[in-house]
Amino acid sequence: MKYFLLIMLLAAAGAGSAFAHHESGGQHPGQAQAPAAGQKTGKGTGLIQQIDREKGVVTIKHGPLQGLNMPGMTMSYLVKDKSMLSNLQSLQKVRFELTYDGKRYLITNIK
Amino acid sequence: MNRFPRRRFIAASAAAAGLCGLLWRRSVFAATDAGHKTAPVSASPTAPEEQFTNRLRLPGASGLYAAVAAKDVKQITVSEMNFEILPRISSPFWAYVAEVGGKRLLNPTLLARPGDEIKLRMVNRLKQPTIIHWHGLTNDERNDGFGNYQVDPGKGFDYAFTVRDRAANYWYHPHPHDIAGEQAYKGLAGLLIVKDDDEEKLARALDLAVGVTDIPLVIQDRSFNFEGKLEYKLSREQMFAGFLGEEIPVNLTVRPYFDAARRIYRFRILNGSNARSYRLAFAQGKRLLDYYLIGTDGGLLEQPQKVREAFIGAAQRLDVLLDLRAASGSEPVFLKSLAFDPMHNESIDEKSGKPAAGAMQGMGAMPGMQSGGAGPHAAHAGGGLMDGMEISLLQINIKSSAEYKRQIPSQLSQLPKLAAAAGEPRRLTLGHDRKGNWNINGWRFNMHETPVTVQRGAREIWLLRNNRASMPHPMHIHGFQFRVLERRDSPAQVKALATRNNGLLPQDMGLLDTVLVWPGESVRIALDFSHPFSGDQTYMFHCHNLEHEDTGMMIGYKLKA
Repeated sequence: MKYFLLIMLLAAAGAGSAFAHHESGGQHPGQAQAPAAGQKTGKGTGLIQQIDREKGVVTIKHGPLQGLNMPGMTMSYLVKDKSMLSNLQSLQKVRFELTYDGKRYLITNIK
Repeated sequence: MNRFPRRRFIAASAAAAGLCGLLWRRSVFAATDAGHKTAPVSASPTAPEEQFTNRLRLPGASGLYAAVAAKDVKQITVSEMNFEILPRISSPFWAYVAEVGGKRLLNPTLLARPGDEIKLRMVNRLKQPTIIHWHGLTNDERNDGFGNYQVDPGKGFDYAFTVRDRAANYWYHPHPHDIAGEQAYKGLAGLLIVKDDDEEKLARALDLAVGVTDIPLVIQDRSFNFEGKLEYKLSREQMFAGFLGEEIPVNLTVRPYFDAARRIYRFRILNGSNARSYRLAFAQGKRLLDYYLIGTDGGLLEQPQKVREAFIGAAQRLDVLLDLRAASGSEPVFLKSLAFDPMHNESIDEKSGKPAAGAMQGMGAMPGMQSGGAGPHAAHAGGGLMDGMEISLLQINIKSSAEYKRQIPSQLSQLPKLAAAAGEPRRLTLGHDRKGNWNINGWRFNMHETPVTVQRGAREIWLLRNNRASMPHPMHIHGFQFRVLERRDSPAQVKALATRNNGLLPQDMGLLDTVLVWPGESVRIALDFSHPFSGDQTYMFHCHNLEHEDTGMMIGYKLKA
């Protein structure tokens, strides 16, 4: 059991720093309030792995994100507005901006 | 670290890494704060966007897979280039390049007839040694092509041989020492289709045309980095399991579709993956369609075998007919790999067949795991695509078409008579040394040794026994084809597909050069070592999981004249 817990811990550590924030029953990302003080934005390049248009979530395999001090990884992120996903498809190379306001990560621009 | 041994830490790390890799494909994460209280949130059933929007690449007059008479090819240049596997993203790519009739062909589909003379020069423009192996053909050792004949960068190698084998779907790929996996992965592979009168009779009966209704399908899993470029980076642990890609392109087309008429199609399927096996089926919605196995590595079967699914290991070929008149409505049909237990049982106890003491339950055998247990559907991560996971490979759109009334012939060909062998079988056991090295009878490859010697003209039975503490191994012999006589102790998922004839699978009814041997299984094969070449000849016998081959699961065998 302890080994399983360790695995989960390592999995969380490997991915946790970039988990998209999603509060149950909370605001849609598009309704986020004005940027908080200390908000950080990272820019990077990535390859789309999967799109969930209904949830407004895109999974990206990306390189290091400058500005967020985030290493390359594959992670699912909410987008600010679901319409940002309308012209995207899986296995498309994109440039994107990821914002962290101290609580959640949000893609604010993706092309 | 004293209370948590290093090897378990490695195993756990691998498992965790795998878990990270797996979950992105299956779930969306949520967190109340970064790095804390993480919990996956299931994606909606409609969320996985597996849209098949790329037209399947087919052999054309030029470019990739272009079909050309083999005897017209005078030179194959092994080249580094850029190629768009993902749409509009250029990636470094290696290809066999031929110039014929002013056209540039990449990995050309070579066409030949039995008796044809093939004379061509291979020129190595890579920055590392290479050699072409003509997979499945009966050649002398020099023209067979393996590591002992590899040539350095800038050098050439002249092949000259006669096609002596039956009509079949053969292929050619790199076979240098230690780096065959990387070279094949980066693009080096092509088909050699040999046709004869039986083939042409079948084509006439069903009105088949290569590239239109007679379609080669080369299945190769691949991974791409964040810039969309081909990526081949394997840890030692991953080498132990073999490469597993995150995408499964068919004919180097990711998420491909193919527009079809309501008629019979022939698919010549090559599993060109480095390591991954597939359980192939055609599905329309939840319904599996019958299809007909008509050929294997060594050509047409005598009669078509009706199946709904078939396993195909790395390097194997399945030649099938799909009758789309049996599909209902216009809902697309998918070529899929159904879910199966990939049986990464490397770490079970050999005697009891149960997880070793202290094993991690339920996580499957991750690469590098020294003490992990393998439960049902145990699998390791290949980025986001587990081994044995159900996955769609090709979408077949059914279009309206003219009426088609052809029927599959009941007789396809005549196989050579099975030569009876005398004496005890030669026993070859597949296993590993629990230090991360696969072997055959405990032997690991040494280019200066041939631990097996057979007499030219001898008929032998080889008993290939795969240990229980193992994984599936697609075993390939150079120089000769063989027949499968019997399968024993097959796992349930294999036994379920077996015929009443000695546990044989439908694909065991044909000539083979590669046979997939599952953990715990024993497979008896019959070989006839007759060939026309004078002098002693050395050939290879190896696992065609290319990472296993590259790390030594290969032996040379000598054919004494």
